[in-house]
Formats: sequence, structure tokens, C-alpha cells
Amino acid sequence: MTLAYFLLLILVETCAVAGQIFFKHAMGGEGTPQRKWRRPAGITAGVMAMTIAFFVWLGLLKRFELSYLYPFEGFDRIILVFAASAFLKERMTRGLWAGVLLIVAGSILVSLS
Amino acid sequence: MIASGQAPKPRPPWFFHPLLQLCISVGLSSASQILFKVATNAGDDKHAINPQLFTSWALWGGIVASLTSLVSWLYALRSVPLVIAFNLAAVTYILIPLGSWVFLGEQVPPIRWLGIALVTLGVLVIARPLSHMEERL
Repeated sequence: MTLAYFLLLILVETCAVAGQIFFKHAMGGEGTPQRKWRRPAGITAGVMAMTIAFFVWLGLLKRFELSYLYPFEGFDRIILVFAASAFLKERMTRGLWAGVLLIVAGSILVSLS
Repeated sequence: MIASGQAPKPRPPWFFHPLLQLCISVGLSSASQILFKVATNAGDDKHAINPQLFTSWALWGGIVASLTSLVSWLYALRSVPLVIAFNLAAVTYILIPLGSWVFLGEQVPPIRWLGIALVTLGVLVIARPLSHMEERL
């Protein structure tokens, strides 16, 4: 896999994670005060992010075997962990680092296959 | 103990059991990826995405499977803790390569299986802390 394809893969995972977070904020929890515009704006942003992820993923599927490409989906967990760490100032525990390292090591092995 | 005068809440039919819905979601999500691959395999090799793709039954089947999977997932999450859902979702990392081998005839070399096993293990290791983070994000 070339660097360009790898960056496209990261774009897919980032858009998918962003889409999930937009949807979640748009729906809000029960009893959460919502501004009128917040729900449609969140849903629109979520749909746009998911649409980008979908079409780039289809493009990548054309080029690579599914069993080769799919394990890289594990990166969405890594992106979520780092997003939580950056935006929520969540502490990176040893368990999280172990999980991240396993996903990265596994992805490297898949990319070598 | 049910308060007097209050009717007991009717149990939903077995089909709507949250764990079954979670399994359906995982199965449909895996099926959708295989259908997307079938759709992109057809058509010309020059363009990644071409108009022909949008007439493919596999693409639309994949979209329907994907949306149904999302509905089942959201339904299940109403009563199943996120950590269990995340752990069960890790099954897709095994189901999809298996499906690629069985339905698409892809050869999965041992080194790829080893990589898939490591990714799955990593996903399982971070399921608990990640579910707490996801709830806050």
C-alpha cells in the first residue's frame, strides 16, 4: 500500500468517526437542552462526513482485496482514542496503549501480506 | 414487585431481543462489505467509481444491509452496554476475511490471518476504556 492510499484510508476512518460524533451530538441525550438549529446542522454534517467516507471506501475497495483492506478499519478505534485524549483530556492508560500497539502491529502484518 | 393497579410491561417478541439485534447488526454489516466488494469488482478497471456502479444490485443490497445494520445497532444500544456492543462488533474482523475467502475466493495468507488476529485482540483490549470515552465524546 502506497502512502497516498494509506492517507485515503485515514481520511475514511476520520470521516466515519466524525460522522458518528456529529450524529450523536445531533440526537443529544434525553433532557439535554438543544438549540433549534443544532439537530439539522449535526445531521447534515454527519451525512456529509459519512458520504465522503463511503465513496472513498468504495474507491479503495476497487483497488484492494476486502480481507486486506478491512483490518485497517481498526484505525477508527485509534482515532477515537486520540480524539478523546485531545478534546476530553482523557489520560492514555497502559491498556489503551497496548490496544493501539496491537492494532498497529496487526495492520503492519496485514500490509506485508 | 409490581405496584397495584399497574399492568406489567409486556415482553417484546424474541426477535427484538437486544443481543439478537446486535448479532443481526454484526452479520449485516459483514454482508454489506462483501456486497460492496462484489459491486466494485464489476465494471471497468479504469475508474474507481463509475456510473455503472449505481445500477449494481450488489451496491444497493449493500446499502440496504448497511442501513438495516445501523438500525439494529441503535436499537440494541438502548439496552446493551456499549462495551458489550464494541466487543461483539470485533467479530466483524474475523467474519469479513472469512466471507472474503468463502464468497469472493480471496486467498488469505497466514501472515494476514496473524495480522487480523492482532487487530481483533487490540480492538478487544481497548473496548472497555474506549466505550467510556465514546460515551463522553
